[in-house]
Amino acid sequence: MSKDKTDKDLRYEQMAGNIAKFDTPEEEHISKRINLPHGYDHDRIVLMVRDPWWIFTYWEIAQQKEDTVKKELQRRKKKIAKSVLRVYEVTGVKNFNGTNARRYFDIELKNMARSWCIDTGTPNSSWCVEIGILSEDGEFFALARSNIVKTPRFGPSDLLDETWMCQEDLYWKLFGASGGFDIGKSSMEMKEIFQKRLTEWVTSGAFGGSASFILTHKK
Amino acid sequence: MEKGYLAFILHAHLPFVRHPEHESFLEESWFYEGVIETYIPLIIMLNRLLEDKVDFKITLSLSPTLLAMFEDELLNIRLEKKIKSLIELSEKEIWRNKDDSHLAPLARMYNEMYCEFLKIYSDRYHHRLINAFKEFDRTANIELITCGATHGYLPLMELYPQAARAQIEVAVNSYKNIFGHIPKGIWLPECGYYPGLDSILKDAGIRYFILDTHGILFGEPRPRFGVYNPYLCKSGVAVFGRDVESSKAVWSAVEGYPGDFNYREFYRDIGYDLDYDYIKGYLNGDGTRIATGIKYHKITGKGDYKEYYNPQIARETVNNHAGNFVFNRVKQIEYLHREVGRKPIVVAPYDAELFGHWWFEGIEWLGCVIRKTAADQNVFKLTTPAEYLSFYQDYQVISPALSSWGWKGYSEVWLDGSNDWIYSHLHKIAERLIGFANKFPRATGDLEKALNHLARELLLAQSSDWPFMMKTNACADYATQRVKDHIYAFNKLYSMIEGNNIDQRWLNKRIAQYNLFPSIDYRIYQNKL
Repeated sequence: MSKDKTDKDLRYEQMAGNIAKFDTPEEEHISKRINLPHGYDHDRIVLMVRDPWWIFTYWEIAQQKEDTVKKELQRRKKKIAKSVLRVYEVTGVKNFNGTNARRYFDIELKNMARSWCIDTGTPNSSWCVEIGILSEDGEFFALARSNIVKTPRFGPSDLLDETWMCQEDLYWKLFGASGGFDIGKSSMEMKEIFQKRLTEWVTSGAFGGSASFILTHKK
Repeated sequence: MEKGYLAFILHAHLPFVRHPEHESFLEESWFYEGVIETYIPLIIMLNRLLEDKVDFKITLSLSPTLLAMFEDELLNIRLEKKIKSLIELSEKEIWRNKDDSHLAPLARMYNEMYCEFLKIYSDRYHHRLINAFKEFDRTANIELITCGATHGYLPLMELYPQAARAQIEVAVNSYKNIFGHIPKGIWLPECGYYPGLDSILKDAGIRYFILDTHGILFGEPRPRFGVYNPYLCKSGVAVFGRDVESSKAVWSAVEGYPGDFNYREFYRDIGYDLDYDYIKGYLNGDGTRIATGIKYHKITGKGDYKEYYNPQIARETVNNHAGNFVFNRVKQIEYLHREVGRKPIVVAPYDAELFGHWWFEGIEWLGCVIRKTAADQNVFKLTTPAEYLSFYQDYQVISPALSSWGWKGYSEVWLDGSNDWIYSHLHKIAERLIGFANKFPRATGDLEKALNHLARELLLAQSSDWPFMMKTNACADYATQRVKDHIYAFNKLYSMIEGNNIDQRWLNKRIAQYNLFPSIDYRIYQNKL
């Protein structure tokens, strides 16, 4: 390969020599010892969408905030029952203020949890969570309120587009074809088997596309 | 006259795995494997199509981190060494197997292949494969599009639109710096979309993006054409949906072509099989056995018993599979043409590294499909999304649904018990950078340099690869370390800036190590009015 060295070869050898400059032993490179801060000393609760049914929340409450709320409970002669996440469904609610949710449910927190995955079971709906303390007599004292998120719809929209109407039959045919279902199935058949197979199709991840390369390096 | 169109979209991405601190770094070798097994063979295949004046179109999405590695001088030097070492190994293999009628021709095949790669890499492209893509960009056949700056998964950045915007703007700017114009389209990292993201794409000048099938089918109002026609978002940006049928043919482990018993077996490699003392010079720096790329067996069957690879039979299989793929598209497009009412487009996106790296014969298959499409039928033609958009004046307007192309179709892969701890940090550092960008609108000198590097650390911490690797437990330790390293460095630099006490020596080292996006401007994180 290298019987006669060209200028280019020499130039590359020279550059290769320069690489050595990076090899400083005291270099602070990727270390297993890095400890990230446990928190950032603020009160916050953040809500994220995982999929049409599940939402995820994490939080951090500074000790000071918790102490203030606990003092308020003491002042009002209330006993602490438990820490809870209060999960509000706020679909269609404008200016959610903590009292005007469509419904809510509580999740009891144990073992110093810092995050929680919540099964809402309700695609296409809006959610907000508060972390707080529930008193023995059932009064809720919020420590922090999250952002509002909306879960995506699962299944086709009911909204039809007047300028792009087509017969119901054709709609389902193309829907089925798009989903890789057998071409040529009747639309009625398609509609019946649709929901079941669609759920299987999306949730099985049978032919998901992401990052095959890295997976080939899985040991 | 054709009845419809097929658009191949290859998504090429690797996280930024440049490690100057060691001569041989396991994760950095992903880059060399990708280049040697996928990108050089792909470049050769596309060049042959161009030389033969085949009528074809293809779209390649090149992630900005991959492009940065293609451009990097150090990685290029190491790549050349890597190819030369493979040539040396294949020469030894020819000698070792000189009396073996099965293995001698295979060893020669690898030797010829690597020699050709070196020639192309050094003579034709002058040690810069980026030059190949620059040439492709000037052709009418190949459409190059971009991706998120570091392949950050955007639906989990919804709370900080500035962070999502920065992923897009840095990507578009780095593309523009290389190719001299902005990209027409984008491959959203992991096809991850959340409602409203299209406005950010619009602001960056992007004209189209691609979603997984259900992102379109579950859009509102009901999409009239399934995934066989693009739609416009309210922002005016166009969106295309993935066709499941053509995807399955290649992706599916059960029904897909790559599992054919005549194709080369991925997991049998002389790096694992041969005597340690013989092979150790070609393994990773620490001596652990890794794949070298030289593989002598075919898939053969489901068990461990493997027979020798026969390139001639593999080639015939490629030809059959390519014919089958084209035949199926003809049937599919004829059907759709009857039903859709306008010429359908079938969008077939794949990870580029599926071809070549994972499916050894995949590049040849793709070339063969392209040639057969041009020569053997006239029902459909190849197109690119941008070209298709010029065919019609009007498209239905829909709001696509939140979706991704990951396992289960949403965000679970990147938001799971194994990796959800990263988000409290990623959100916090994004918030911190947004705060600084607003606080220092006109920084100059050392402060500007430090703020720009903060942006780099944030972007690097956001790569979707890290939570993916944690979730799949594939090199999870490395992924965890990378996320921690970038968050740690971000916070360290943040404190230095706050304390007006920047350690220039340390900062310069960080910049030298993570040298991508040289012209990044932290002001992209400012709140927009």
